[in-house]
Formats: sequence, structure tokens, C-alpha cells
Amino acid sequence: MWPSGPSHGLTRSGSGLETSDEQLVAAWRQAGDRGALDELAVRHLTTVRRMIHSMILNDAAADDLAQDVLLRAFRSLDGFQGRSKFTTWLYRIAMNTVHDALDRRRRSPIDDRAEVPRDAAMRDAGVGAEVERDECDGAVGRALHALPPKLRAAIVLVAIEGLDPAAAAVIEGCTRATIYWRLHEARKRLAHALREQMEP
Amino acid sequence: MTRDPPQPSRSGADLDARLREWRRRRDAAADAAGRASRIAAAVRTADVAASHPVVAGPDRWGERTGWFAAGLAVAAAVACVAWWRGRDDEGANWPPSVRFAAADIAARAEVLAGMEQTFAGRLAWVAEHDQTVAVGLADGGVAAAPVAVRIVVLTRRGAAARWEPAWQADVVVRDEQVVDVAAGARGEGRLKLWAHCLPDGAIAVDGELTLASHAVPLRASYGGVQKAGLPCRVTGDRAADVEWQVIQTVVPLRPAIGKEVG
Repeated sequence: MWPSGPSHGLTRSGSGLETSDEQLVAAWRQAGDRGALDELAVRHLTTVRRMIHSMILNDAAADDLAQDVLLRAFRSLDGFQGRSKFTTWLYRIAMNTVHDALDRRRRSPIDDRAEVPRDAAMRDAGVGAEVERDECDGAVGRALHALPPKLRAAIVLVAIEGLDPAAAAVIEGCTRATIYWRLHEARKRLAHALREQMEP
Repeated sequence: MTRDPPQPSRSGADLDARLREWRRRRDAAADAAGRASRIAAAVRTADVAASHPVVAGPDRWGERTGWFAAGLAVAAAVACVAWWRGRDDEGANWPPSVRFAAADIAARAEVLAGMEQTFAGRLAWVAEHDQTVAVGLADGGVAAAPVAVRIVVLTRRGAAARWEPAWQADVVVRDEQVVDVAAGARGEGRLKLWAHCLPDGAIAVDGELTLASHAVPLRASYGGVQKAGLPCRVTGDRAADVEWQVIQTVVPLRPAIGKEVG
């Protein structure tokens, strides 16, 4: 489980209400309160790593990038103007980092680190219903991997992470309409790729 | 202007649920919580203090200088905008070909009707550019309303006021279908387009256009809501002494037949 509680440098308000992300940012900027950064990490690292993994589909790479994103965000908190929610700003850094990593990977085809399970490997891994579930998960991973990064980002942010399309648009630096059509196109392609798994 | 977010269909909701289930199982299998804990520990020991901002209030001279600089910047921006608007005057210098004429609309409606019969209702889009016609078919029948979209790339050099057409594409696309077609005389570019008619009559359009062999190498990604029939500058830029912009006009096809639009 995640470390939590004051022993990990968490900052809580006296009333028991959770301090907002923006208040934690202010605490760091004004007083250099390192506990504020630790609390921000505790709150958001799980989501950031999950988001990155859904895009990059490799556990080790997701770990490296999640750490990179947190450090990059903390080192550039000066750039957070408070015009958007802290999470929107943080997720934007995360998705920019992922897109850069995917661009680098595309230019270096040898370093293809996506862990896309193969059916045969999945079949060797277990029996019965568990195998069927694993094969289904493998198919989802392969279908996501086959999507272009921009379509994958739309489906990850809205369908998997449950973000509002308006927030997803800010994170991806495009219009809401663009997010809608990317979602539409991504769902169409995924439904086609997963048609066997989706059959009742 | 706002639009109602399109809700996923039942099959779309099933798909989303399947994706979330995949995510949950992946997290459990990879011990995502444990991994996040280890990353948090690494972040805690990392040096972030080097960039800790020094918060200092400006002295009076600094404050005054700041206001003076801000005033100058605002004045310069206002002057630039005034000059720029006077130069372009909202499309006064665009060629008439950026608009759809009634004859264009009628011809496209007729072609569409004929092709729909040929492709048994599976026609998703028709794109016409560089003396080429491309057709996209859907997996099943599509009945959504068609939209005609004209995309014109205009260029001008130096201080010239008049814009000249450099490339044009006319597309008829059914609501929420994605046009994906090679563009340019040798097919070296790409046009992707998606349109969706909104309840208030406006149309949401998103496009990605890449052209390599024209006056400027053009790579544009744009999106937004625009009024039917009104040419709209969707994007533009300048490279060396060549300035370019993409003008787009959108018309819902069937209701517009026989009327002058744009």
C-alpha cells in the first residue's frame, strides 16, 4: 500500500479537512516545506504511473517515467500559475513526457519496450477461466498498443481515467472537439480489434 | 459556443468498462501500489531544492519599471492588432473560391446521391483534391447527415495584401466519420477530417493537414466550432517571407441544396 499519514511528511490542516493541492504548492513555494511535495507525490503518483503505463504499456518504463514526471513537476513548480487545477497541470507534464518517450521509441525501433502479451505466452501461463481472462487482457493490451498515441491518450484519459473531456483537451493541448473525435475513432478501432472478446 | 458531449453508445460503455477492468487487473498483477511506493521513496530522496524559488517582493523602482514595461507591451500589442486587422479585414482579401456557391452544393449533393446507391449506403466520405477523387466506406450502413467542407490553403509573399490559393480540397463527410486521405499532387501529404453537426446548427470540425510540396511545408492540426457557410481561418503561420493560412467553409449538405451559401 501507499505510505500515508503524518510520519511521511504529510501536511494536513488543523480542521481535519485535506489541504488542497494548490495550498501545498503555495506551502512549498513560500516556505520550502518539503513535506508538501511528499504529500503531492503520495496523492498523485499512483494515478500518474497508471496513466503512463496505459500509454507506454511497460512496467519498468512506466516506473522510470513516473519518477521523471514527478521530479520534473516539482522542479518547475514556478511554472504552475494556478490557472488550471494542479492535477491538470501535472497530468499535462506526464502526457508530454510520454509523447516524447513514444516519439523517441518510434525513431529507435530496436528499443521497443512495450510489453504486449502474446496469445501463446498467455496460454502457457495458466489454465481455464484465468487463461481466458489473461488472453482477454492480452488482447486489450495489443489493441491499445496498435492505436496511434493521440488516440490512445484520449481513450486513456477519458475512458480509463474518467477525466472530463474538457480537462483531457487541456492536458493534450487540443480542443474538446478534437478529444471527442479521437475518442470516437479510438473506440471504433478498439471495438473492431476486440470484437471477439466483446461478444456476449 | 458549447456543445453537448457525445455519450458513448451501449457498446461504447461496454468497451470502456472492459478497459477499466483491464486496468484494474494490470495494476493488481504488476503490484502497481508497491511500485508507486518505491517511486515515492526515490522522489523523496531526490534533490528538488536546487530550483526552489526565491520569493522576494519587488522594490519600488522594480515595481514602477514593471508597470512601465507592462504598459509599453500592451500599447505595442494594441498597435499590432490594429495594423493586422486593418491588413486582413476579416477575409476581405480572400479569393471568392474559399466559399461554396449554390452550384457547388447542388453538384455535390447529386454526386453523393449517385454514389450512395453504388455503395449500398456504406459511403462515409468523398474527397476531391488535386484532380483526384477518393472515397471512404464504412463497415456498415451510415445514415448520418452529410456535411460539405471546403479547405483552401492561401499564401502570400512579403507585404502583399492579396492572398492566393495554393491548394484546395472539397470533402463531403457524414457526421462523425473520419476522412483520412492522401493529399497533395503526388499524394505526399495527408488530410484527416472529422465533422459533427451540433443541435444549434453550428458544426464542430477537426482537421489535420500535412502538405509537403507547396509554397510552404504545411503541418497543421486544428479544431473548433464554426457557423455553416461562413469561411473561417482555422490556422496559419509564416515561414521566411511566405505567409500561409487555412480557410475552411462548412455547409450541412441536404438543407442547403438550391440556396446560395457562404
